[in-house]
Amino acid sequence: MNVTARWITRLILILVLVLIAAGIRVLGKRFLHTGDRSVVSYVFDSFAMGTVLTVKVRTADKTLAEKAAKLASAEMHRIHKIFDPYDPESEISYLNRIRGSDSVISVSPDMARVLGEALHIRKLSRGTFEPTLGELIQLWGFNDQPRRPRIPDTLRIAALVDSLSGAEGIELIDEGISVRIAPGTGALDVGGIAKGYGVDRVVAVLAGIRIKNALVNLGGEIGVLGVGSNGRSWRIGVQHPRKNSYHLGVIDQVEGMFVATSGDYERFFLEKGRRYHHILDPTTGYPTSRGTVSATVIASSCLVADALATSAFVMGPGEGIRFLDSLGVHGLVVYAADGDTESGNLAYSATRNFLRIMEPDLDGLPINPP
Amino acid sequence: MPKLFTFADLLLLLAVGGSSFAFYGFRFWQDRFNQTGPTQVVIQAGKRIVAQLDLSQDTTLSVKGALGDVTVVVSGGRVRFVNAHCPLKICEKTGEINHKGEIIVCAPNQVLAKIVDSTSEDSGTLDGVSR
Repeated sequence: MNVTARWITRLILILVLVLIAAGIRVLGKRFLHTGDRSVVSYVFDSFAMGTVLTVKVRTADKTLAEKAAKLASAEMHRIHKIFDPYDPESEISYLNRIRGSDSVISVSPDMARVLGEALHIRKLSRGTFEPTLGELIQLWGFNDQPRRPRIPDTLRIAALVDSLSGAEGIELIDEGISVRIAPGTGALDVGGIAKGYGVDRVVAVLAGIRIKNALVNLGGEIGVLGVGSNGRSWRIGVQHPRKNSYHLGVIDQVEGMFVATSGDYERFFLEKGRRYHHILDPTTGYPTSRGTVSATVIASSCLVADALATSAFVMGPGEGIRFLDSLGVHGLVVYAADGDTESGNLAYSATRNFLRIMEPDLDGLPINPP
Repeated sequence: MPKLFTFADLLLLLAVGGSSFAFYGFRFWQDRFNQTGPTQVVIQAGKRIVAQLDLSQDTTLSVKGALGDVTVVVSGGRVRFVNAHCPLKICEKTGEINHKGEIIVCAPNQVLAKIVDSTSEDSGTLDGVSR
């Protein structure tokens, strides 16, 4: 009997030791964030809307992740087909062809949503965001591959700026499901904000197939669902405008929060030391030259974040930040402290609430530290 | 009355306990530290992955893009684009990349290069960059 009791004691002690060792490993994994092996991040890159669409899905189900990537790409291409002004079969090209006829035209729900928001933000921003710069954008050629953009003839720019009445000639009818475009209205080009709308749509599509944790990044315009690795918020850097591999700081992005940045470093060329970028000032027809180099906005939709980032960029650091503050959104404008955008002497201006989220480091932090 | 726990039992327990800790410790060490640095670059043209190259081997690769060829150079563990057939040469101005997740994009040609490594998780790096 004593012998049996001794062996039982030994076995219990051995079992306890083995369990303690296993427990230490499990706790170590939990608290030192080596991750749950069953849930992994699947990352898919594709090209859409003239840039890269990255979809990152955190799930244990690889098939679901692949389905999410396919649906995301298909939705983005669907949006592109509606808003691509260089595609003669797109809805926006159709509107541009018949504009000025004064007839009432039915539009798709996507067009109604984007046009409605564009006109609303145009009004709020007192025209610094202008969705009818199609002719000017084509003249500069920033989106017109494979032609190299160049400085257009001054008189042609002036003539276009003088002749176009802007989006005042666009009238949304029947709560936006129809539109009338008056003669003299410039060609619609909502290429910039259509990207933000695309991010909104893809995030909604992923939520619709019950993806819990995902990140959608279309050329730097970002929306998320759920959480990132180890159950933490998604960590989003804000690009340093003059150092490629550096960021200004990290935003912990949560669901319902969308981030968009407009910068003079994405599409530009230099001539005689001057930078010509793709963000045009509707009042001059030239790239905006108020010293802004980038504007970042966090809003409740990527479409709005996108349009407000463009508005703030065009307004410049002072007026831009006051505008964003008045709307209660988070915003950051980086500008040239000495007015020369090529000197590298940068400063920033931020909304009151932005600095609670991120304090910019103008020296830059490496995007991927070694 | 014989003892329930003898010196020999203690030795046995130490041996079993030590082995357990060594085993789980080794597994834990594997989980935590068996993460090699960035090792490869994935080259994608349109929807197609055209190459996955070791960063340790210097290579020059010409990739056919939508507008023309883009030359991808892997040298000294770094990747860059040269002689890209595109109007603005933004991809060439991006310079060299060598850290996990870094990417060079030639949007007009729909060609990208992205550094990857063998691990699927990395809590220290960014999930995205707003630009």
